[in-house]
Amino acid sequence: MLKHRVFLLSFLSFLGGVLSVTGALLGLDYIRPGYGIAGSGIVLLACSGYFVKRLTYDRVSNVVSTSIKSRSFFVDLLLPVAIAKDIQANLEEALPLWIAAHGLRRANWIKRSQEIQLIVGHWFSPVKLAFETVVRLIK
Amino acid sequence: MIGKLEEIVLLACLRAGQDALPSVVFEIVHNAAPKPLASFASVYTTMGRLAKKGLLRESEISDAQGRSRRSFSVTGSGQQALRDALNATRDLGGFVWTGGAYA
Repeated sequence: MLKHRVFLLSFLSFLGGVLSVTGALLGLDYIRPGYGIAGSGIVLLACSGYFVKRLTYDRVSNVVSTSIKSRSFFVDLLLPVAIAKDIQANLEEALPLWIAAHGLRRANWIKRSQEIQLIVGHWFSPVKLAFETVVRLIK
Repeated sequence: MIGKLEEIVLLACLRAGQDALPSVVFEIVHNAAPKPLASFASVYTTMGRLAKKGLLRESEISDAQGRSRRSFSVTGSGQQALRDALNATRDLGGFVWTGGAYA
């Protein structure tokens, strides 16, 4: 994975820098500390830039791209078109509330759970309504 | 007589105003202190059921992104049903018996 390679590269460049300084301190002329330190510094800078990007830009773009998820297949499959579109638009608007309360990953799980409940509720509602009507008539 | 969830949804719809979107009604329910009162699925399904009973009037509006959305407004019957439910709670003594009070 890229993350592991970046860690390894960072460690090796740090090690290289330490070795070159150590070599210079020990008086080993064939080790050029300047090149070692400069090379390590450049690699370390590049690696830290990678981590800064991961911690800042990627987090923001992940939230943006993940929060505007693709349409739910099962909602589109199991519900009438108009209701499916309306439900997905409403869930999209409700998602920030769950993100604020629980974080992005759990919010997406809540959204999936709500989709299932909505599908069940849509098909079960007429049954419940009929039952309530019968009970009202009997009373 | 309407149930507790229907009472909560009707109250939230009144607070949301005319032609309220389900997401707005859910936000009101979700932000009710101290904890959310109902899930989005139950709010949405209840609103559909109340519309079929005639306590909410369903209409179609276009949102900011031009999408056609279902919107709901409380009807006169809905307001009456809500009044009856709240009066029943008050007539039984409301908070008196639980030792609580309205905030």
